[in-house]
Amino acid sequence: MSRIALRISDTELEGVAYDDLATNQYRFDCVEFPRPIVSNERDVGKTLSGRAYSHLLSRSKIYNPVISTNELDEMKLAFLESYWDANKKYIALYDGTSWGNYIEVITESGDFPLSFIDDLEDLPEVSLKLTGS
Amino acid sequence: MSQLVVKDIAGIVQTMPLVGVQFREETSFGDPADDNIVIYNLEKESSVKLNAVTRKTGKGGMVQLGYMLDATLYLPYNNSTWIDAIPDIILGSTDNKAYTVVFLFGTAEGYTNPAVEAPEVINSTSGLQLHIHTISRGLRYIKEFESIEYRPRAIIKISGFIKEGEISWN
Repeated sequence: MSRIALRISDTELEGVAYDDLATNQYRFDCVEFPRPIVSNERDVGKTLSGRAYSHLLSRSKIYNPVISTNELDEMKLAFLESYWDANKKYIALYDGTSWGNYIEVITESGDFPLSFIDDLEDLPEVSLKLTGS
Repeated sequence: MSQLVVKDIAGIVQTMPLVGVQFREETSFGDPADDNIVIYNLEKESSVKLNAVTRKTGKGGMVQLGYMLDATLYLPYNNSTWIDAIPDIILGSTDNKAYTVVFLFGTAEGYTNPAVEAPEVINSTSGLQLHIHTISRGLRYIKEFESIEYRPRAIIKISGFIKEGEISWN
């Protein structure tokens, strides 16, 4: 499974290097963590002179970790709810040997993405969609 | 380098039928005021099974999320006083409470205070206890009745989701 660290901060982090002892941080082994998806937004069109143009407006990566029951307890669920609400949130990825730097991400608005496997209350699962650089 | 090799049968494979069950209230173990119910002499059809609850991972394998408990206990006590009273006591005492359920195998005895000697077991070579700590209070109890051959008897069925850290063997 893929290991990630999710961290909340009230202010922008001074350094992006991963900190094992950081407060407001939990590590999770995800049951699913597909390859991040590259996404961009472009202004595409054609000038009156007939020339085509494509201006890059934004570029981001989308991370989709799925954290299942085996990793969740009351404390971790409460942390993930706080993560969903937080203004500054970060993700760090473990590549098997070392941790990468923190990546600042944003989440969509709306309901906290909590679901239940087989509709059983004791089998919660959180599927996050995080947009970052 | 450490190495583990398990090959000898003698003294390791024990005969231990399911002989009893204990329901012990979790709040303050040892407090005489806590509920403590111990039922011995379960009938031979009684069984307990912990089925793995799994989920497929993104890499195609399976991860275990916990267990689904499936226990069926056949109670032989069938006089007019006990045939209904024992299931009702169990269901009433465990309803929406945190309980440790202990399944007793072979010569294992349930904890009692004051101490009460368990019935003699003649077909066991050892004893084992399976503890299930129902912190999540997810276990559900059902009572049934049936008649077999020459007598009626009560049946208690226990089911529910158990997390990995909520079971222990002693």
